[in-house]
Amino acid sequence: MGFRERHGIVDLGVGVGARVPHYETIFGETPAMDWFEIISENFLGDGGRALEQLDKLCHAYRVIPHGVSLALGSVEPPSADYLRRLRALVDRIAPPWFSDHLCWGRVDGMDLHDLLPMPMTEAAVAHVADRIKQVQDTIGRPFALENVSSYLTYRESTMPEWAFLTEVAERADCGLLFDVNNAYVSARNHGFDAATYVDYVPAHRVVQMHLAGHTDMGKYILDTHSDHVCDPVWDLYRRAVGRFGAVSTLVEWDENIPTWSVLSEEAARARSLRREALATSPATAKVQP
Amino acid sequence: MSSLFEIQRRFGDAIRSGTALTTPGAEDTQEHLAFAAASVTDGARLSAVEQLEVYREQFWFRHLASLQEDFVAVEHLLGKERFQVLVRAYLDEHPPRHFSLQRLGDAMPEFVRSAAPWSNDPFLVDLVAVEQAFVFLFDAPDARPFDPAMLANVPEAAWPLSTIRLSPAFRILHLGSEAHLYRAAARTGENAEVPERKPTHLAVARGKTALEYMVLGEPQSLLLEKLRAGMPLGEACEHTQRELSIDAADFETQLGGWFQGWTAWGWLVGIDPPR
Repeated sequence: MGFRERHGIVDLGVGVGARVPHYETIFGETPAMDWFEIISENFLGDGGRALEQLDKLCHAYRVIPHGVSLALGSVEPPSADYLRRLRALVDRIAPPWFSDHLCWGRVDGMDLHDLLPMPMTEAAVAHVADRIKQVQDTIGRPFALENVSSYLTYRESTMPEWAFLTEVAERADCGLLFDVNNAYVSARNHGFDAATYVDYVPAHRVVQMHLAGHTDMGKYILDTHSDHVCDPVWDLYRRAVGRFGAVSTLVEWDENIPTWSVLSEEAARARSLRREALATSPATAKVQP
Repeated sequence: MSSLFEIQRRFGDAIRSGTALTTPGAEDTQEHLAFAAASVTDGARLSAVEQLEVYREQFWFRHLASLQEDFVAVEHLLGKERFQVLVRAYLDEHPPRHFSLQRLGDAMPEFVRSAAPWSNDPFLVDLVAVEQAFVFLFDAPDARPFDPAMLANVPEAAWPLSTIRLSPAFRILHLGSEAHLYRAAARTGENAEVPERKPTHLAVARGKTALEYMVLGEPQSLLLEKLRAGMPLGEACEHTQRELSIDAADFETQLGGWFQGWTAWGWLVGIDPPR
């Protein structure tokens, strides 16, 4: 039985990230939207309006927490305080899964606030898989691991990124949050074929996908979440839907945040494209292994 | 082969470098260049050092942007260039140690109070304290507002020996100027002018819908500080009255009004009778 089936994870449709500039519209008009993703760290404080607003959001919509600070690849473990707060947040929302990234970001007692790339080695696989198991046990919900955009490769790496991600997920027995834009960004920056990535990862583990825009810096592209999803990423998404089937999808937009109508149009485009891809794909009837 | 920890430690050191790794001949980047050469693969588009530099730039950009958001008025006062100098000096001394960027500026008030040249500018010290207090209060713990019915559980004779609990989302700042007025003007794009020196006791609290502030007279400020320190009500009143040489009758007359105000504004959250 595949991961999604085992954990009863269903397709939530297409959602967007909940961001403060849209709160007035969201809370004032309760616009149609399949679901919302929140950045966990914005709701780990002790009190204040953020938690009140979260409760309102959860009352009206399905909400999934997405973290940026677990730093699963860091040798230093996450603090007990962070895990306690994350557990409280997840319990408050009761989501079908929670997610964070395949990266590191903590060293020497510092939190570098970035999704830093891992050397892709057997030792790193073992380290991250163990860490994920501990986190899943602590939080008590299925976990989805997201591939990051990267701008650097290590001499020590012994496997391609898609094999590394897959090996970690298999060994940790966790879900995957497949970020289509991140796969595209890394492929462009490191000169591999993003389609290979999509074709390799175990479809039954993919519980969610991300879509976002990026910025072309000339010699590399930077994952900025600051623009519309570009055409090659839409194409890759179509391929991913064909492989993974009906999987919850989320449009991220974190810089140069547009009006609600522009953002919801981007989600509508994803919804329409997804519908088309599902109609013509064999994966719609049965999730590929 | 380097251990995972060794790679992360050297990577972390490199991206916190204040000097661009691509600066030709920079002496303070040599160790980082050696790390790039040993551990990072040269790519078709970016060299090993350029790849590491992408992350170094992002480290500074992200933390600078976070502190710019928290200290809008301070940046307005210093100008962009000097603000960046302050941020670099601050992050060298206080690298980020909390998962939340919201906590990044926690040590900034202490830093500008103690590190020259910043410590030589008393208005800057005040302004940093005001802006940081607002950031702190944003997600400070909630507390159920004081219910006057709680008083019914405390016999009147026990009030002087009782302690008063203040909201965790409430702070008093003792400033040498009305720095909050500069903050408000800088944040709304009005003409912000550095005010005259003037001792100011500023109460800052998270209200029902927004962060609020109020200038207090010295007696209220002193009494609230004593109550926050856990001094029983009667003793706190007596000390305040004596220290400020306030007439006892005047003090008592004002006390009721102060308590009504503090309750209405949500600064008080409980009363604990003596054990």
